[in-house]
Amino acid sequence: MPAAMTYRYPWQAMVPDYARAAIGIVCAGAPLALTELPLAVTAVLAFLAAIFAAFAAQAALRHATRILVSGRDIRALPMGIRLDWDRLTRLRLAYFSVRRDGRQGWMELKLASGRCTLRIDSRLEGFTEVVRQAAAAAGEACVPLEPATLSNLANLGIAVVDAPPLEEHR
Amino acid sequence: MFRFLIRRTLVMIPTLLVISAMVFIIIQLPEGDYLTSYITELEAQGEKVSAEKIAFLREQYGLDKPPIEQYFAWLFGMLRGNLGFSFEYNLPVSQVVGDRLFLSFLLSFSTILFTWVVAFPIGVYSATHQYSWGDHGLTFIGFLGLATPNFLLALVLLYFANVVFGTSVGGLMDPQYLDQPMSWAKFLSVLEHLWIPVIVIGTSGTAGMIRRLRANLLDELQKQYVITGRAKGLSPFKLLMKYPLRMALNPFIADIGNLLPQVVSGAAIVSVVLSLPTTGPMLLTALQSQDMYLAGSFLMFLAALTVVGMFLSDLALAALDPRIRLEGGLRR
Repeated sequence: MPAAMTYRYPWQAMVPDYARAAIGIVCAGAPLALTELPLAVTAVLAFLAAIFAAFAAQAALRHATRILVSGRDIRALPMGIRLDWDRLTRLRLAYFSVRRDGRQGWMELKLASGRCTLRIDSRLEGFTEVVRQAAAAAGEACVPLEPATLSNLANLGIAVVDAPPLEEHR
Repeated sequence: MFRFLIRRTLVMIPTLLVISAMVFIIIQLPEGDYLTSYITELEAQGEKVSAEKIAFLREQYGLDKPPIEQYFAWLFGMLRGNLGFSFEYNLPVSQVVGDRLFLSFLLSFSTILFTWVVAFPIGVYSATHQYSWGDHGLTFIGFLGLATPNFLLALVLLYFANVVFGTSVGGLMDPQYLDQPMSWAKFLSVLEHLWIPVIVIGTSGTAGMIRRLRANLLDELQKQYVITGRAKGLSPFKLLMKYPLRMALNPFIADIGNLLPQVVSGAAIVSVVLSLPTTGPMLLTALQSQDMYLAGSFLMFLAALTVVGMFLSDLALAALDPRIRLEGGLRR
């Protein structure tokens, strides 16, 4: 059995997220700190500031995350999440882009086994390899895949032969 | 998805700032200002206005300050909930808009609801029973609805209601409730009158939606995954609801961005024809009279609703169908 591979989020890829969180906190927090506002505006801005703070925390956690992939399972440290490939129950590969032309987007892989869920985004070094392995495991475990996931897998050059796309709804 | 939400939210900040600057520039573009129009109007009536009074009014309304200062005062005022002062009504904008905004929301949401509730089953029926008698009949009614301008339908209804029933269907409430504060009796009166403008404004939208839903659904029903679903033994109803209908809805979800601003500005002409006390006619008057803070607040509100609408539709699309859609193909 091949040794487990370790993947990380490179810091260069995380810097824009830290910057976005900082801009968001400043834009939402500055009016709150500098001027007196009506209750409704205060509530909206406070909510936005909290969302951006949560985003900063998520970016930091992601920055510290290490993904260990072996032939038997996938683990995320330091959260201590572990998913066995043969117990995989869900695989979803989504693509997001904020541009109208759909370019410069990113992918998010969501894997689940029972109540345990792991989300990985495409800034991870070796993301395609992780997706390839997850897709192979999904095929072997006959995990149902959504049309959007199949389409995104195809765009990465990954074909899942054994996955039954409509099985879950029979 | 959380990252998408954050990035999409951040895009809204510069968008709204640029829009606010453009709105301010646009309402400043016509020559002169509200006072110029006001003085011309007084002079046309034979009244003379002294130069001191003009200077006093200009100072009082803040029109003597440089435009950039006026812009920032307006911008920060809006953030603090102060939408400015309406010169035309001599009242704060928030007071002028007040009830009308609520009535516009009520009318527009009722129209949107009417459109969806009527168009949806008809569109699905037409697509699943293509070229049947029912489809032909509904298509004919749909074309009629599309071809009839709303204001014309309003005029026809006004005429027939007057000639046949001897009553006026104009207005959104009984005359005794006009300019009265909102009460239960006034609300009931509004509900009694609401169905006529809802039908008038909603007809063309309903017809358009039936046509688009039918066309989208027909496209989806021809695709291979539907045949695969049928071959796998899925019940026709479940197959329709789970896959083709979901895909056919994408254009409608993308349209939410256009629906929200219509809540405020939509059906201005019909509102004029039917004498509806909504925001549409008020926006028209504010633009004509260069009531800059009233017009600016309206335009800014419309822009904010468009931006929020696009944001919501983007979120819904990303949640429903997050696949790669690149214009001009995928570049690897």
